Amino acid sequence: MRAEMQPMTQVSKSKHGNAFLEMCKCRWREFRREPSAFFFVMFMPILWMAILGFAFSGAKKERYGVGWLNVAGEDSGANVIHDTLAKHDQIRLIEGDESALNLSLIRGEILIVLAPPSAGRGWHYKLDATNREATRARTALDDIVQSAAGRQDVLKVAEDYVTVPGTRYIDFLVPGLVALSIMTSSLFGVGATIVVNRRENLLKRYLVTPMQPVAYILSHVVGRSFILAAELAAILIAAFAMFKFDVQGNLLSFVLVAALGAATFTALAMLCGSRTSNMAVMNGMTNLISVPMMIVAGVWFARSNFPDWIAEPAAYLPLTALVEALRRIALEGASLATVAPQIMILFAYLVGATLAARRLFKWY
Amino acid sequence: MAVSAPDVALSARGLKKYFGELKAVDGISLTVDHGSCVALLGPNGAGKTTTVEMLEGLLSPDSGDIEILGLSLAKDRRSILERIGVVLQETTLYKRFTVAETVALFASFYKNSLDPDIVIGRLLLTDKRDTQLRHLSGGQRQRVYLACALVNDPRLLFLDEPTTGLDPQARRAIWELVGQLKREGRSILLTTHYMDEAEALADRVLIIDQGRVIAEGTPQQLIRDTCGDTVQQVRHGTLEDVFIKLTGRSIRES
Repeated sequence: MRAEMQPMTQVSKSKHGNAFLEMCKCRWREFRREPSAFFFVMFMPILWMAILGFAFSGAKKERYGVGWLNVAGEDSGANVIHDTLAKHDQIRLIEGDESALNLSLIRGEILIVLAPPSAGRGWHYKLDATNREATRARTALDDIVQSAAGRQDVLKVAEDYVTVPGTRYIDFLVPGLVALSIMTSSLFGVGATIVVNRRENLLKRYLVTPMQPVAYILSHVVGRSFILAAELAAILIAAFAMFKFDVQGNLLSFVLVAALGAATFTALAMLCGSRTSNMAVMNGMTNLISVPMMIVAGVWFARSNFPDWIAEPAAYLPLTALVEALRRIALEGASLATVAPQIMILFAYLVGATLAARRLFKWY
Repeated sequence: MAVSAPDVALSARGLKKYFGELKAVDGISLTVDHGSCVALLGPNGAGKTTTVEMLEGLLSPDSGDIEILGLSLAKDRRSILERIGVVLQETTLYKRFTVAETVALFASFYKNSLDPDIVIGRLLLTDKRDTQLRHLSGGQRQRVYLACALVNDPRLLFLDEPTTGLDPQARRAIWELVGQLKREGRSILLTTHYMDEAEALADRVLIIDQGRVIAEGTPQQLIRDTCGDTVQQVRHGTLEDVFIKLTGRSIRES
């Protein structure tokens, strides 16, 4: 070994590269060379969009499982109704005695039981009134039963179906998925990187170089922006190609709000990852934050479907603010001024989380 | 005593660090002369790591002064960091980075650094230049860590257990290299669990236990003073014997 060594002392020294730039390159390489990170950021949202978009496209009506209670001595009126239901494309009819139908109810195979008249009791339904789908099934079923029994509609009402781009479910869904993927990729991407870097003593190693720690922190913010750009482009292009999705408002406003969202969730990720070097703790914390938000923030369907005591506080969650701002810009063509309340909410989280992370951050 | 002599690379006086009741470091003083290698030996929990972390500026001492390359650590930490090199124990650099990318990353931290390719060549890693770290052997990876510590051409090196977990051949290669660095006039503060490593590399050894220096000297002095001075004992005694005599336990079981 010795023979091949040349002393380094005679070699001249100079400035080699910029620390901040190199750190940003680190972020890019981490992202690009970790196949799972790449997959989750770039393809998961597109996969979701494709599955949900195609599942809910086409004007398919809901189909309900209905139990028909077999009773002794059914009259001919009951037979007409039974046959109508059996042929109806919105009804999946299952017949059985009381105990069999109860079991089907428990298993979720049927939503409602229809009992023809018997033993002195008239027609009746049996259902769980707190199950929304069951109450929908009741309305649909009652409609079919009444008209089969001879009810005439008083008014004839025609139906127009919404198919114009910008008003379909997929249009509603895409901004939600953009927001969701910004949240997950920032929370899990940045947080996990910091925790792993800390656990492997890399942060400590950086501290014994003259590198300014702020270069490391800022590189995460900048790195996120680039990844965000790639992420946004992938989702929007895929949404356009598959569903002719289009942003009605200003695309730049859309990108700016998305960038603010990414910064906010990056700050939250730094806060979550400010102390621990244990990935299990980190995953627990990010799940604790992200899972409830995924449900109540209105990514998949409008937040107003929840009872008020959930829907109203949920308006102040960062994911809700991001989803709503993006959705308004994309669907309603709103300007940045119109979505100012949502921007304020995101900004408040950004500042709060940054300050807290600054206070709590431990390098090793 | 106020100004350290110009031939001293590192001097620390009266270092103390308490964590609540625990006196992790309880009055340690040490000096590393220019171009020499000083080894810190001690069982786990003796205060070795705390001492080194204070000397590297990662922890601030409760009391005591540290001067490195003629500068006060408390006042000129950043200038000192420009001129020292560190190999920490149990560090993992980015596994999916190539050797060249890793060394270039560290080079970018310094105002003045060597050409990364020259350092890579110096550590005999030229043919691994574009290999990702995850594909390297333990010894090669350790040489990459050394390359990162050498890229700023440091005058003083902190090597914290630089050969732990390496096979004998890789250890010898690292020793060879550290010997070369010393001959180039670099000063080295080494912490190690291996007695043979301390004997092979160190000009002076400090044995630390319970936050204090309990013995200090050249390896030969320590062996002679502790194990007696008959010719036979000098020949057969090792630092391992010294260590067991002084701390009452073997270093690797501690």
